[in-house]
Amino acid sequence: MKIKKGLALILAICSMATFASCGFDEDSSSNGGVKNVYNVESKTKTKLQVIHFDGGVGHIWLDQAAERFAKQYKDKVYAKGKTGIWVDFTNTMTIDTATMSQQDYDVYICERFTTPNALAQGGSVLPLDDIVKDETREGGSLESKLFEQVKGGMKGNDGKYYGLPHYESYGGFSYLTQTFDECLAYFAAEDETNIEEFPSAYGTANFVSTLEAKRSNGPDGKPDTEDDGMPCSIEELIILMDYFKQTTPYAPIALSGSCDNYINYTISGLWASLAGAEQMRNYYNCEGEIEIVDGYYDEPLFKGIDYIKKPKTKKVQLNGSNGYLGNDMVAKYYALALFEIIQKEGFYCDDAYISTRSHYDGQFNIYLGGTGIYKKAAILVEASYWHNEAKKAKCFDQYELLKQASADNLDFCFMPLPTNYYTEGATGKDSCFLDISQTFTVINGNLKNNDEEREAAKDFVRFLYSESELKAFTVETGIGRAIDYDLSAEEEAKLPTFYRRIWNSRDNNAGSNLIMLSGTTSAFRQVWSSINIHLSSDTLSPYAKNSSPFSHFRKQDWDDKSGMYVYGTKTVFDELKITKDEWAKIYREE
Amino acid sequence: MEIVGTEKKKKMGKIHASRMKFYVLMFLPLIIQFLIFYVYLNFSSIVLAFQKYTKNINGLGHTVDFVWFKNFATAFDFLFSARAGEMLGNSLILYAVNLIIVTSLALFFSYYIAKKYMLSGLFRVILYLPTIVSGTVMAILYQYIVTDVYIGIASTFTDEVVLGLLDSSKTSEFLTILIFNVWVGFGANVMIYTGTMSGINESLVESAQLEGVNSLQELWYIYIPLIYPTLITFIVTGMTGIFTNQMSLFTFYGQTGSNFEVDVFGYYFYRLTQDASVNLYPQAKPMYSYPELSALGLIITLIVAPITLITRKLMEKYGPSVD
Repeated sequence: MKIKKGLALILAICSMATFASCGFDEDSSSNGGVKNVYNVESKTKTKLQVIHFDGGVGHIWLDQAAERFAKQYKDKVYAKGKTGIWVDFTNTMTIDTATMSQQDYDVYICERFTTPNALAQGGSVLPLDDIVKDETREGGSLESKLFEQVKGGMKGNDGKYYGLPHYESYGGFSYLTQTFDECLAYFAAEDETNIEEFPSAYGTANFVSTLEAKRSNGPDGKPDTEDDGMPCSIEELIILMDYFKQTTPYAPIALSGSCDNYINYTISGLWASLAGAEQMRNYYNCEGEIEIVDGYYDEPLFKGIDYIKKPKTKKVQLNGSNGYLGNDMVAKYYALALFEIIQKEGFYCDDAYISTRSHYDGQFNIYLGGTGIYKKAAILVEASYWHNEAKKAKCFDQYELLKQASADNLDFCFMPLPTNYYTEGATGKDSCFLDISQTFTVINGNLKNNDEEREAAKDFVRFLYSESELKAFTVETGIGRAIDYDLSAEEEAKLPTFYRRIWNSRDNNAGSNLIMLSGTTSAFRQVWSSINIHLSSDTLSPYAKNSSPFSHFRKQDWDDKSGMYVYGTKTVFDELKITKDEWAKIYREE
Repeated sequence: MEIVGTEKKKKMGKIHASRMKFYVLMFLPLIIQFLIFYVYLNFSSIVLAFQKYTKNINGLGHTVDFVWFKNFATAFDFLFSARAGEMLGNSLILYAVNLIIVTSLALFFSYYIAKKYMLSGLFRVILYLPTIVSGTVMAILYQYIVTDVYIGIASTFTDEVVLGLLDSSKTSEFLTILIFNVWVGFGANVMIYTGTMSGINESLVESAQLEGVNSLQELWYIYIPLIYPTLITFIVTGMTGIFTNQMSLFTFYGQTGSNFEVDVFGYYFYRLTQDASVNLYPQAKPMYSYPELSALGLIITLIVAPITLITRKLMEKYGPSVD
């Protein structure tokens, strides 16, 4: 008996430890812990099956929305003998869209592994024109509300809508404001006198010596904006990293050792931020002007960085047939170069090289650094969904437990990324956000002849894209969607500061500073899967699918002849290029 | 008499018919499964190797063209690339290690256990334990041992930053993964060899002992020849696995690939066959589309099948005899 009790006690302690540990999923009763009243299983109701990509954004909103939906449609008859509806969710990170026609799921909410266009071409999904063009929708038709820059990606090659955009995420850097405040890691304004000069091997810069000191204009080049004091150029960003390394107890860069491919997130973000929204849209459309690498000077890329050559650049006009040049963009070269520099200059936190450290561990480096096994780091390489994911996994509870302090005081910030290569001659540019999640909603094409489930699925999708649900989604998750809707001041106040800053930087009404996987040209329709930019896309995976440049930049093989590392920026950049012959395989003139 | 004989025949006929029904019902699922998952699958895969799917630009669906050996040309280019060479090298090293070290040791250990020498029961449990525990659990456990535990211990001897064995260099990573494969695979080998050795007739061994053979001779002249068919099976299946074995890399790294790009065909192909709805169509980068992969699969079959069959024949012909 005593043994049994002892075993039970051990099991109970183990269970508690599991719950306390990071990675514990959302409340299993879902719905944010609220018990469902209307969305409950019943044989007398129509059953709708929804499969949902359960990534960093979670499913609390979806569960709550289903409850509201079931309540609103409780009296609707979709089939004889059934009144009302209930929604059954499958939340998973592995959605098989290849065999949709044989599956029972009615609605799919997917991430980047496929697109509405691909599914439409294969005949796997239903057209949504009646939902998208519905003029009776409160607030106006979805077509009038969808951002222009997302529409192309939601269509099949027959011009009909087959998908609707779900949430967005952007790759970049995140930091804890308290760390930056503690280290006074802000660039000072030119006319500021309260400064601390920092002579670095990469150039000299003035940092503020007090928090009240006036900060530089930042990447947007405008004073008194959110990005003041942030590096306006890659050159300044390198100096900032060196500043952390030389003068503070923080390692400059935190990266999850088991997710080192996350550097692809930040490379994507930097690529877009340096090139600007217009060039990135031209890139996806394979049409319009972009700036590409056209050879190399025999001079270092930056002061103190003599192993990467400065590229010669030229502007070219893309016209479909030369769309492969998009991968030669100068901005991509500099974004890759930054990560070679981070590697070779020792800016990574040591934990980045421990392959058992998860993405949560990487995040802990910036707010639990110095505690337990976590080393201190200042800037995190991650996508913008991480904050929501950490909340969902109850990681901030770990902070409260270990630090005995409220996690609400942690003031995280998604770093406005540099918009210039060099500080001298830098011109301010508005921030731009490249979506790397590429999530969307579609309805299974096998419902074509199933009146009951087809109508239920359409009603559900209509409901999810109603004005109130769009707002509810953002309030719950902090994340935006490529649709024109506003939040009231009260709703905005509910967002964590991390997401509130992004929401305020983003053009929420027209999406002018958003880059989505979308285009209007024939070239886009033909080649999008080869020029797509996301975590594991071919455009960022040298030598092998799903890889990242991280492992190449680690290699130390030196080439005396070129004065560069064998697997350095130039090699990786060249490897990622699409050749003219390769382009001919995927693109044909109409 | 005749009537009795006819009735007996009828009765036998009924029994025969019902037996036939039983056999048919028993075999039908197998035959259906064979037709769908072997005949149809391979047939469509062979057809796919000669096709090219092109997305329609101004409408739904796609156009399918017969492209003869174009996909095979791409597949050959890949097979002769440095990357494929490296992957083949890794697989061959794994195979050689399994063949020479694992098999030799497994034979000795199996003999030790089959002879019920001291602590043989304990060895059996210890050696077989990694096979009982889920491969994923073993991999995670191993990953922590060679990373965090190793760092913890090694750091006490130096002030330098210590990296885990999977994270410090390509050679270290490959060797660490190789050792894991040996560790995990060893138990299964021992289990099967021990099982086969246990079935050997004791009187045969006793008569050999009466003739004065020592333990080593007993193993070499009696045990190995008698378990030789099992040995052949291991060697031949290992050979067919050169292009399919994923070396537990997926268990360690999921879809993202190893830290230093240690790769083998099995793991590489798995990653390539992701993104099903996209990969039907040609991609800019070669070897990503299903038709190209099908062509590659066919080429590999044409390479491996004769080698395997010849090896088997040769081993059967020139292998040791119990005489």
